[in-house]
Amino acid sequence: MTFEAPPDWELGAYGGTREAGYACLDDGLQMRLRVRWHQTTSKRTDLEDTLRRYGHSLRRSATSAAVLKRLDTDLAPKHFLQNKDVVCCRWETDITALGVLWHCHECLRSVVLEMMFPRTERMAAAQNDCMRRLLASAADHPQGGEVLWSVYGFAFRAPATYNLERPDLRPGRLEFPLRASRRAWMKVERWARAQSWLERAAWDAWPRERLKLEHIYRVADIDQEQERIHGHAGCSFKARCVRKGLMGVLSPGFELEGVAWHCPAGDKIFAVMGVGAKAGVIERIVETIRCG
Amino acid sequence: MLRKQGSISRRQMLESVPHRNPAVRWETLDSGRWMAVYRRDRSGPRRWWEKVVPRPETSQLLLDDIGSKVMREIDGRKTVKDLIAYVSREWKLSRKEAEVALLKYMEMLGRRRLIGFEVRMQEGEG
Repeated sequence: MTFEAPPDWELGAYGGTREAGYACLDDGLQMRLRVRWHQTTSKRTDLEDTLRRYGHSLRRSATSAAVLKRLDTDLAPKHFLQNKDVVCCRWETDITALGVLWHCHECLRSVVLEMMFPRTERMAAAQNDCMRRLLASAADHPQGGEVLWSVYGFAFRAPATYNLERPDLRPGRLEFPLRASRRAWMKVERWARAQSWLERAAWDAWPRERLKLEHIYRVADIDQEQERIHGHAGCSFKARCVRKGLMGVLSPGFELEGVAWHCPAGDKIFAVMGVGAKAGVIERIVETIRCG
Repeated sequence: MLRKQGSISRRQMLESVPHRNPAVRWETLDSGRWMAVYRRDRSGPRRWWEKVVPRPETSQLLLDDIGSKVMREIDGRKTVKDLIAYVSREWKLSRKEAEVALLKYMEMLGRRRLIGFEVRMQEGEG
């Protein structure tokens, strides 16, 4: 799912999988956006029932009585309404929120999106405009064969055939594991505080040092070539890996290839590495990353 | 009788001012890193346990480079929000990343009673 949010709203919490999950954005003081999704198997779903259950959960969880009011769907842009069942609503407790519930006939996903407004932003027209702008950019399934992944100022595009597994978004280290099939997976990473890493090991040794952090496999052999990537010192590498422990004896090894580069201006290291990727996929992902 | 501590709002937390514990001695090493030297807590059951397993009276905690720089910024005037902005600027992290890292670090320091927080009451609060 993709949408554009104001730049000062950042990811505060997330969980779940492609099938069902949630993500919350906050502005540093309070939650501003919450989106929850659930994969269904049919083109039609009872949105009225979903709205009823949503109102019920609001009344259960709100500290003051929640007043839920249904709105016209003109809150959403016309192109957003195509191929979807959409319900819009508004609720007020000690904060105000606009909610949009929809079910997409194409990807069969049901979504509940809530945008919250603090007491200082009570003008209904401004709230509606904010929601309209977000919905104008919203896409609940991949378009054009690629998916945009973006968080904390780091963004890249990956083929839609790769699903995000459990991302590891720690301060200073963002790791996006993506998988297309059992034998085709990749990781896209951004490491902050690059200078402190490079004080421990020279840039030449970074790929080997990075792969030492993996728990499941170890590197038997690694070939790397230094090259310039996005105008920075980088390298491409191919590593022969074997699984650790008894599995390493029983199963054949695999070849991992990757690209990494160091951006001094942003004090970051970026890396894209994978197994079983088709020719050009890793290079294409690297092209979509803007460092700095 | 146990008394439940009131919780503070997020705004209050961000506008609170951390202070170094004056009972802790802070030493700057040649490397620029800071070390906290403080007396161990010997109250309660620990007093009896240490008769069986004697331990030194003081304890030391060596901060890493980043922790030392952050500790240097805790001057009794900067708020938590100011420190988050400092971490974000210094290490080129997004606001959220800086906030998560800093709050976790401060939680550790607070648990060890190396710092405390001055929480300012907002308007309308008694």
